[in-house]
Amino acid sequence: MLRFDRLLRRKTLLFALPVLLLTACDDLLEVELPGQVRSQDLNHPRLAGVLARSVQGDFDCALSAYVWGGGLWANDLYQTDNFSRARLTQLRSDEVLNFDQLECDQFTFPPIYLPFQISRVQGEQAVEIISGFSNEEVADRDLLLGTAHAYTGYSYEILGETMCELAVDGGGRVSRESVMMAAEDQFTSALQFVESAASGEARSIRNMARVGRARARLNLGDAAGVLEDAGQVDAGFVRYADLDLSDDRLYNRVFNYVNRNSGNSSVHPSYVDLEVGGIPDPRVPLERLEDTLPFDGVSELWVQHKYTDLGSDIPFASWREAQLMIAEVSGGQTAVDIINNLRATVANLPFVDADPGLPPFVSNDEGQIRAQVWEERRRELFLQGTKIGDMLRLDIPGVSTDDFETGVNQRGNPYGPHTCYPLPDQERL
Amino acid sequence: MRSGPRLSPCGTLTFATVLVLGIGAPPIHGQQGVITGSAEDARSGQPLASVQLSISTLDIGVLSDAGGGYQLTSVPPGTHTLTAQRLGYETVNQQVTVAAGQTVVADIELTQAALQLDAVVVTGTAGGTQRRAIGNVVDRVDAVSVQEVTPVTNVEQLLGTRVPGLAMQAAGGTIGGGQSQIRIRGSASVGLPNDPLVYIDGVRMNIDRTEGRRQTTGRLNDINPEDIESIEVIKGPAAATLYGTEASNGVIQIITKRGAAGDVQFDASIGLGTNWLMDPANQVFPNYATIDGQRYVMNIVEAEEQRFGEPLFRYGALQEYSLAARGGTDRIRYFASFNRNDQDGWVDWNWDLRQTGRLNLDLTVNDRLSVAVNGSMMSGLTRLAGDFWVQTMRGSPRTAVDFGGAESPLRGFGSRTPEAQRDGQEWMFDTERKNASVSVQFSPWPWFQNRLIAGVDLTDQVETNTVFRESNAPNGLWRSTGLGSRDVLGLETQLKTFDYSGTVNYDLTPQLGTATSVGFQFYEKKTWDVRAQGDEFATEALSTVGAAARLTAFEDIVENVTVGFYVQEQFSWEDRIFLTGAVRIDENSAFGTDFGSQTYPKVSGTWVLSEESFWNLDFLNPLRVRGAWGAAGRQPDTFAAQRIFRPVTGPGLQPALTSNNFGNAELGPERGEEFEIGFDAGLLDERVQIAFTQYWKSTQDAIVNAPVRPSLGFPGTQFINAGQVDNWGTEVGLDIQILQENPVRWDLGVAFGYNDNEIVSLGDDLEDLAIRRGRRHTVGFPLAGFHDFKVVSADFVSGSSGAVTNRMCDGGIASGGGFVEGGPAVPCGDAPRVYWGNTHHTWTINANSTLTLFDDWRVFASVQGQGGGLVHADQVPAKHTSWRNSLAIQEQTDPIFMGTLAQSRNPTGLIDNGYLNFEELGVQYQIQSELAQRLGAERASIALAMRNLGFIWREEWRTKIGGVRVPDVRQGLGNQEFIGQQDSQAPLSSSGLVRLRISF
Repeated sequence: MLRFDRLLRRKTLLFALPVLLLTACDDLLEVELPGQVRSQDLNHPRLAGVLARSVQGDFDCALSAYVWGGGLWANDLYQTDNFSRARLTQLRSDEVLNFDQLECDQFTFPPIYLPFQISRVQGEQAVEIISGFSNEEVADRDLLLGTAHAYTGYSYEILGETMCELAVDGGGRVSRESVMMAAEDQFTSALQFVESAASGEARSIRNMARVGRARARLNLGDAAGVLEDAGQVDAGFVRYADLDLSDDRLYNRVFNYVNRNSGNSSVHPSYVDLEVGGIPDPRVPLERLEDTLPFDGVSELWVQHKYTDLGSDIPFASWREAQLMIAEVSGGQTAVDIINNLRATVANLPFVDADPGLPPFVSNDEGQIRAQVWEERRRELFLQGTKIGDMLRLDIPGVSTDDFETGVNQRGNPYGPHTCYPLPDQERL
Repeated sequence: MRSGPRLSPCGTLTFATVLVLGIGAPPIHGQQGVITGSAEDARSGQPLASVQLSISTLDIGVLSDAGGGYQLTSVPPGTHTLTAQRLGYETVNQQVTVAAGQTVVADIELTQAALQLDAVVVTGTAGGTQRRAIGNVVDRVDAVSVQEVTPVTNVEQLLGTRVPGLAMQAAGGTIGGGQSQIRIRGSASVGLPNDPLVYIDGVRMNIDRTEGRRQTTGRLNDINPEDIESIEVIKGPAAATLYGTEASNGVIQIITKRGAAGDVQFDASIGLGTNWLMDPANQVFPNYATIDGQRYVMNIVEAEEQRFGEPLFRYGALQEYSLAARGGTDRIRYFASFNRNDQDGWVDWNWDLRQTGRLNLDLTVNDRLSVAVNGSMMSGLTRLAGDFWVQTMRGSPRTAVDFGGAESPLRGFGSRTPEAQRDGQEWMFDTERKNASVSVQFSPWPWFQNRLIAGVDLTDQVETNTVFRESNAPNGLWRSTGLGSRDVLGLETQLKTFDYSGTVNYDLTPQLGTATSVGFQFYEKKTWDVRAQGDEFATEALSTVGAAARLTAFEDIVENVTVGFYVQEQFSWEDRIFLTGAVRIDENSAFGTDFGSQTYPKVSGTWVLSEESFWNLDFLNPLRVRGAWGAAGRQPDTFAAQRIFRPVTGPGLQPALTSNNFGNAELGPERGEEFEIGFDAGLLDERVQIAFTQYWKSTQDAIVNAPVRPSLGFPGTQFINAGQVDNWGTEVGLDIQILQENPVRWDLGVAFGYNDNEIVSLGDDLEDLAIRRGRRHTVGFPLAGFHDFKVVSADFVSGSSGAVTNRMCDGGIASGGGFVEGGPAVPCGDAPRVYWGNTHHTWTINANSTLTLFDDWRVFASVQGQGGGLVHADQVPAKHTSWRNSLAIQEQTDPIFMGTLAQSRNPTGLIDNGYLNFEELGVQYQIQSELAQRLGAERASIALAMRNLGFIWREEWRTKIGGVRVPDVRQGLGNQEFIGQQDSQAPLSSSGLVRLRISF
């Protein structure tokens, strides 16, 4: 017994120190995270403005990447290097199915899908959080909600135009039509929040939502709805993705990959030397780089001058687009008048120095008018992120002048089978 | 009111602990007699410093000095058992009779033995235990012995492949840029790094790699190999349980040299040598082009030599200078060293200069309390070689006018020439490193031992990468398009370790002893990452970030804390049967909020059979059998559990947030459980020594880095505890003393390891996870197995070359989550990806031979090999499709090759990975003592070491499809898991070093 007691005393002594240490050090596991924000810390009225702004920021970045990547996919641009995975985007290859999904500011290959999903989800989260606060808690609450809804609507819209089908919130797949309807709902909600507001920003969001809803309705075949929304857009309205050369997340990706890194991407040959009645069309300003060798050694390099630097904003909703939507659904003399009005006002475009005096379009042939509307869209909305949707919507034999390419590209590599962008493998796990 | 500095409750207690351990020690006894003598190595006759000589019954002891001498005072008259112990040597017990007032001389010879059953092991044990009591295998590299025969210039060369089951994949052959990827018993984690933990004198060490473009630089080689006494390696959860979370990949412990009582002794060495790229013309890929219907082939090395009349690559100089001093008294001993190492690469802009200093102090306050204080610093400056090597692969005769191409400044290189790399980019690493620790050993009573270690490891690294504006901008180097750019990346890493262990010994009966241990560990890692980047300079004279037109900045702080507590009970029976049980409980800041603490148990047993009375097999002695089962963890990344948003610049340059990490509130560590059995045996009077181990390991709750579905609105991946990976393997260490007697002694050693693995599960929803270029984690197959389409037939569209049609692929046979080969041929559009093979080495071997002649000469040679799988040469497919400069793509006459390219280019990079390489050749001459003394030295030696002397055998030289000759299959990117062979990394260089060592 004595021996056991001694053993017990010795072991008690042994355990005493670690136990004391453990009880005294209960705060040891606390670590700091000063460079990032935990999700639970977002739910505060003070952050409502940051949330709405973040949705817009995500969208702007997504759009910039999309204009480059979507341009490669849909004949606005082509890839002139031999090695980057961007060439597979141009080829619309099966390999895009298993691409890692990149954020908008990554560039191993053009990020097309994930950035708009981020913008969409963050938009819906912002709406949910801000809705939980009162007008007293959050200044400009309605404008913030309208902004979040409008940008969420645009994210749905571009995903709906681009993707063959969509996955939402990690769940099952939904059709392009359902996505477009969701976009329409978001714009409707946005309009409810900013319908009567008078500030400049509220008016801009209202116009943006109207252009966006008109675009959704155009895709849904709702001509009356298009006319209702597009007709209410203020003349001269333009909403831009707000970009800046001071932060690479805010770069204009088109300028970056076509102009700045000459030799990576080039404007597609179908845009070279566009004219209207023998006058160079200033809506597609291009320049050939004759002294610069493309990375693939075979392509002609054409840079664009629509965007003049890394911080050039990209328009994505405008009165001119609204007018073209009216022209598309109206046809006839209405369409002709719109085409001519737009041609007469090209000098209003920020990258056009002077009115070149483009001659008017004259026709009373419906087919010819529809084809010209499409051609005008192609030039007016050059590198603005509408091309894939247009090519899929207008892929009507005899109407579309710009089909998805087949055969082999300029380097002899075969084009893949896709026209709409396939749902990535990561959504099929 | 302002208050002064205050200690937290934890800090107060820590301080108090140190205080308590330092007081109350009883005084030492008076003198009655003296034992003196020297300790030396029984085989080489070299004096041995730091041998512990003690008389346990009297509780007195002393360490031998640098010359091996010792003096033990206060010895009462009578016959005593003098015990001599030293790491890596067999313990010697010698009877010594002391008369009152007299001095007795007792010289001790210690024998190095591979089995080392009585050697003290400090890694994976509670405060240090004799090897005989440990149920798992512990390998040890005797750094001093290695340095004597084959001088090394860094820790990687020292660690090498001397340990069965430990494999290293080098990161590339340029100077200063490569830290190898270290794998112990292969890989077991799907989603987390598989690196082992590294400790130095009980303190966690930063071995993070910093990723650069086509180059990695690492921290392991910051340690001066001249300062290292030995390296202990424990291999898996069964051995590393006491290290808890993070330790399931094994633990490497670096033990540095210590001082010895006696007059100061200096060790000086000078090393001069060179490194080079062996047979460079065969290390580059020949590049082909068809120009105007004629085929041209260009070997860029030969072409440049013909053009300029001198080799493209040079011999880079190696210089190293070391000075170490050790000495002291019985109370205070010191070891101090300084080392300067200067290495030039085989391209002239690639160099590395580093200086290290170390001071280790040992203070014996009394026979119950001792304190060790260690401090080291390193200052290094490296200019990296950049990605010049890939330019040799990307090139084409099309840009070489002397090979039928166009007039071009590229001369057949890819996008820039070597001189453009040298003059256009300056990529530097400036590293300052400080390591300090204090270790307190306190035994207030003979039955109660305490050990407290507290230490910090601080690394300050500044990386600058300047791409100068070129005169012909905007055409030029990458990213800046010739307009110039500069990145400055500051990375400060702090590691703090606090480790207490206490052991109470108690003999229940004269035969049955117990040892109860408890431990408390705190480990914190904090990194501070600051980056500034500037793009576009107005003139060529500008090259600072502030001078650039566009600036960006980044700052991040990441912190991780582990707190652990363990209890261990050990029973011993007559010091030959040991049974140990332990439990460790961990909490970690990276665990999810819904996840509690983690518990890791272990049980081990060992039995020295040959010491039993019934043992009568004299030819087999000693023999010890051992077995261990245990668990350890691997923590997820810091903040991996949390849903996180990161700040970005929003519209109008206002602050905004964007989604960053989806997180997982239920996330916990993955848990490795391992069972190993084995034996250590000596045959024929220990002339043959064998250590055999068989292990089975299962990683439960394996963290799978599953991609987040993009529709959830978050980028990247999400860690989930979903998987299970099983590993198994065999390790054999064999040492044979073929000739034992002078004048010729010959020793052979073999370290062989076999390991393999299989993914049992990736979770409920996942059967298959793509990694990169054909490598996939697939259930039922090894980690990162190669799964891709296999074209079995194809027809040319026309003629006998060019595009193909009617591509038929192996239809595969369903197995696990994938398909194995051997199915019916089906159109490739309907075919699955089939399994081609594993992409890890299943076997590793190192065989070495040491020949000792007349005690003065020693010749050492070693062969290193790996194999048993495939390697994917990542750049080869690009030669076919992107650069189109391979012979196969120029000819286009192989329908299978053309069909494979049309289906998936990945298989064109496959090659069998087996090889045997002539790794080391060393010659050492021990200068005659008379001659050494004439030079003013006590001892002197000169040694020559040569490394990487070429392949003895390669399983395959050419890729399976396309037939591209791959010069090397060993280099990779050390900071990326399952990355495959990176042929864009420069091949491994060869080196030769002559070192003169003088002791005085």
